[in-house]
Amino acid sequence: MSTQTLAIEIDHLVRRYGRTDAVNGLSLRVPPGRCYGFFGRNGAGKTTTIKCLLNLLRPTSGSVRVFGLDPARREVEVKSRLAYVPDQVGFYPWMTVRDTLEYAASFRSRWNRDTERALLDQFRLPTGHKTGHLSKGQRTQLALIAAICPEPDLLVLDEPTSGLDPIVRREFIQTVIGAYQDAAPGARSVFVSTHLISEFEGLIDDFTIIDEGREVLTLDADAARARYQKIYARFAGAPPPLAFEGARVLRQQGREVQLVVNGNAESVKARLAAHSPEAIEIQALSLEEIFVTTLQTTGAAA
Amino acid sequence: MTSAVGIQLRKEVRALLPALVVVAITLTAIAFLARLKSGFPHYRNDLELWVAIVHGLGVLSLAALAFGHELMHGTMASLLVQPVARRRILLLKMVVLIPAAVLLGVLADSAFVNYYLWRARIQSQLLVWGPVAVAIGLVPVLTLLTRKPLGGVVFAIAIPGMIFGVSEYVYPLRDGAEAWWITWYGTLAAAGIGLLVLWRAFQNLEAAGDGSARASSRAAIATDRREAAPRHWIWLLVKKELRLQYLTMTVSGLYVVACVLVMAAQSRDPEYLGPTFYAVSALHCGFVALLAGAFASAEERQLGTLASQVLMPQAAWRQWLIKAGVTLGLAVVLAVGLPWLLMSVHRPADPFPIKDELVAAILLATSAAMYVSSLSSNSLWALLASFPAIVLSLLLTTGQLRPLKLAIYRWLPVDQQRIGAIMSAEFRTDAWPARRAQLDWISWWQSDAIAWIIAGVALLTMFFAARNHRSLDRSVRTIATQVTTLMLLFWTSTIACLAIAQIAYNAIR
Repeated sequence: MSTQTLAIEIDHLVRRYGRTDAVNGLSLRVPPGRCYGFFGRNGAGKTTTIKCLLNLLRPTSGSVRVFGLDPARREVEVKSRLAYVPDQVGFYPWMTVRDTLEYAASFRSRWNRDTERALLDQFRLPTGHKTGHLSKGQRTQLALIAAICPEPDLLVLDEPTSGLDPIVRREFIQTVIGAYQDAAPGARSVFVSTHLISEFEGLIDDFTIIDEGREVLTLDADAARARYQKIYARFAGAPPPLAFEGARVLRQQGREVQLVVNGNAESVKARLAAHSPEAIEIQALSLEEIFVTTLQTTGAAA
Repeated sequence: MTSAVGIQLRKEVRALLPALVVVAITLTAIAFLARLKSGFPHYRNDLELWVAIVHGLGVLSLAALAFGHELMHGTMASLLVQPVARRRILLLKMVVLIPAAVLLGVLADSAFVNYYLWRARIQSQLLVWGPVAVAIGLVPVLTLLTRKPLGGVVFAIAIPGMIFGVSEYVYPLRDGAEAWWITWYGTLAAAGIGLLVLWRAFQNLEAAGDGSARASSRAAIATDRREAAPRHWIWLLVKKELRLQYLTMTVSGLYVVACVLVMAAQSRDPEYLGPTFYAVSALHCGFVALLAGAFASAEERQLGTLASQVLMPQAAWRQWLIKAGVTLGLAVVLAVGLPWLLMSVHRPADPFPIKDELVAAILLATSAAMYVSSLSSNSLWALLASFPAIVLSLLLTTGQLRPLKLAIYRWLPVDQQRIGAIMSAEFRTDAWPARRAQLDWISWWQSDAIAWIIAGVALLTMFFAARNHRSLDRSVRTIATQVTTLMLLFWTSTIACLAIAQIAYNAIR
């Protein structure tokens, strides 16, 4: 094998609801062992894409492959290697936490009891409580435990941290997801759709931003940080009119100007320096800032 | 592996168990009563009608729940991504559903003691095993296609109904039992086709969830772009309440289609009186009354809109009054107005009789269903629980009126001979009008007052329903308190009325 089988491979995916294109020609590739961010505004088509990936929705056109397999034709093989946490977590209200985990485990050939115990302790989930009596956050925690314990090769998370308090959220992202990937380096992939981009900042290896069902930007996270930068400049008086190609004024307040640049930080910096600012500084954008900048630019262009 | 299948089977059984138990207990209770009342002169053929309704609706609801509980609890997507073939998931569900449906068939068969109403073998066969066949073959696939458990029940009822309508058109009933046989085999064939479609549909089942929401949000945006004319909140609330009842109106739409078929048969043969129209109308009437009530609260709770609706800056009691008004009004219009309209068009000389008792019965049944709905988390459960609730309340209230009257007559006996002698003496004298008024007053306490008591109990039921609708407290204790209060009100008031009448008789001098 000259090339490694991709964890996810989506080619020109189109999914329509009536006359509405939820996903419109999306393509992306997730190599194994990576944590892949999938970002977009509400209604951008993230959940629809994920559902096509899981064979919960049929693509109108285009193709979807998980570990090189068609999820519609090789459903059991695909599903055996992945776990999914939906945005709306649902459980059978009559089951206790213990029953729910037993039920989920009954479908799996592998289930890590130690992980289950550790996570139950970590989240302080009462195993005897009925799922119908759990809080929203506790339900999400339970869904996460049920997804992690079978040790899947691919973890698909759709807004996984909604409803979690900040402490549990941080714990989950850093400890659980990190530990999950670290347990089998290079083998376990995470495909995460979230609005809390900053929370996943340190974990994301690659990401795709979509808007109106189309890909807007796909980048390696480090490359993105190197490419998208912001420049602060402070002048002695009022700033001069600034219009540089490849740069956008993000904020102008008093003597300060903040610009966002896309891959040409040094040249913009040099041109700013020609106006003799008192201070000038370059910083990498966070993923969240890249997301906002990208979609604002797209929106402005539209 | 075996234990894994065991766990999965246990979950499927648990999902159906409450409904199975409710329907089985109701059927057993009616069967027990039917056996008690099986001999002349106590035989009550209305029990057979109850068996038919409880069994039919119970077994169909059970089948809808087999797949519908995944939709109701939002677990369908999680289930479908489990690493097992979809056909195995489907088989597990059917392995649990089939014996449960057959069990209810056996219970229903034992509950039909005399088959007084349906004497022909084919009628009883169709009545007991027809719903079982429909439950197994049609309800699951229709539930999945409509994505609503109640939708599965409604459309599943419509299919054999349509088959019967068509076969009855070809072979009018008075010519023999052909129509029944065609319906039986047609239903079996439809169930077989349904199973094949189910097999295919489940393999390709989509768990969209967000799709409809997305489509509706786009529609909402499109609507917003149009110039929005300010509307009064009451009008919007009425529209919302009517929209909640779309399945009730769908049932009525199907009823109209069925009636048109029946009327076409009547036009073909003018001498054919068409009892089928009244049978179909009676079924439609009862079903629509309960369906409208069942949707009132539970559907909003299921949609997750109840809290935001109740918190709108309008008094909750006003909102409830509008809900109750729309629900009760719609039930009466669809259950009585629609048959009346159809008959008025079809046979102006022979209109559908609108009787006060019928309207009162519809209002009572809808109120009862609204109360059950106010306690239910989804409309299917509300509908399913309404039947046993109504049967039980009838058995515990009006069903016991006769023994109660006899007990009070024994407790406060009246010397009938003395009363008769007084009446004979005063008849055609000047004292008679006053005496007549006195007797009418006593008679009012004996009979009409009880109708007012029932109306009062219904009003209190609606009051409790309003409280349950806006409250999150739906504990067993709350329900027990409310039911006990309703029973106490009925019994104490009834006993008081009957006792007053007896005392008044004895006071006649």
